[in-house]
Amino acid sequence: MLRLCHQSAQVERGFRLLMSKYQERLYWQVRRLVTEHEDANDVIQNVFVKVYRSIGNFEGKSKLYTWLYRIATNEAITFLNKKKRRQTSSIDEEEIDLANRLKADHYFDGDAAQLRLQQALVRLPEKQRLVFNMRYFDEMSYKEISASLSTSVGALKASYHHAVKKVEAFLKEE
Amino acid sequence: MPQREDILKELGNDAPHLQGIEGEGFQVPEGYFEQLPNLVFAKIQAEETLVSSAKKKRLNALDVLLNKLVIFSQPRHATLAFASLALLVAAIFLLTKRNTAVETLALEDLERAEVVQYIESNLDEFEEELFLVEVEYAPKNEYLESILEEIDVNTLEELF
Repeated sequence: MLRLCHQSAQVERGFRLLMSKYQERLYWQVRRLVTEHEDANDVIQNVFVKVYRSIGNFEGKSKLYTWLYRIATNEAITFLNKKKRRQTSSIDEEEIDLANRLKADHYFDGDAAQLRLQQALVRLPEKQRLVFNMRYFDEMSYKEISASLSTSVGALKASYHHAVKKVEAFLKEE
Repeated sequence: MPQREDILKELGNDAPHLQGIEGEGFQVPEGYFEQLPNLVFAKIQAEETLVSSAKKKRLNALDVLLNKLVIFSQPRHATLAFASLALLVAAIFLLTKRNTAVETLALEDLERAEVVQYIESNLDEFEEELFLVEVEYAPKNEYLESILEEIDVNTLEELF
């Protein structure tokens, strides 16, 4: 697949193979960060355009998925930061806003508990949210998360533990 | 990769509410993942077209400029161009000269104190003759000289 991506005549074929293998996993990672489908769709398209432009420079020093994951995470965080700069609301307003947007989103059919979980996640600091998503939803090992985020396993375990406690406390409130 | 049970086991009894939530409630449009590669390639194509048309525009602009410059290779146009250039150089020269004149006038307007201060701080750069001329034209104090002549030498000795 990578060999095809590095041959100019076969790039498209190789890239389509790469997409079919990783697109769903990457999409869900992005979706969990940006929450709405329309936003996730924009971000994931930008991610793959960037990957297409730089796949020729991928030297294989890290695992392909780790490299793709980093690009997707950076793109999603850049998108969220731009969005935050446009809306200067408090965390409580952001939480209400998120609930309203999710209720209006055609591609969210979660119940009250699932909506509450999303509200709890939006309150987490960026790094804790990433670690929580990777461990709880993507079921990644700490070793894999460590390679993707360049953080020690010990620090990741502590981060995940804090995130779980915060989410549970928020869910318990109601 | 750990199994779902391992993830839940890790939480222990710390997160019963979290463990009670099944799934996230997110959906995607039907056939979305089948369509995504085509959407990405359409975007890549659109960006490439945009970049190449921008390049084309830049090249066109350069072509237009070069075509205009080619006109000056004809003798009649070359003479005109040379004459215009000569006029431009003359205008720049005249304007520069005028600016120098303005600066000279401005020097004359300087305050006496400023001139004295300048001379004092650059004393070494002036020739001695300049100062001698100045002393020669200094007005004599005739009144003081007449008093000195009138004073008796003996009177001065008494004083000291």
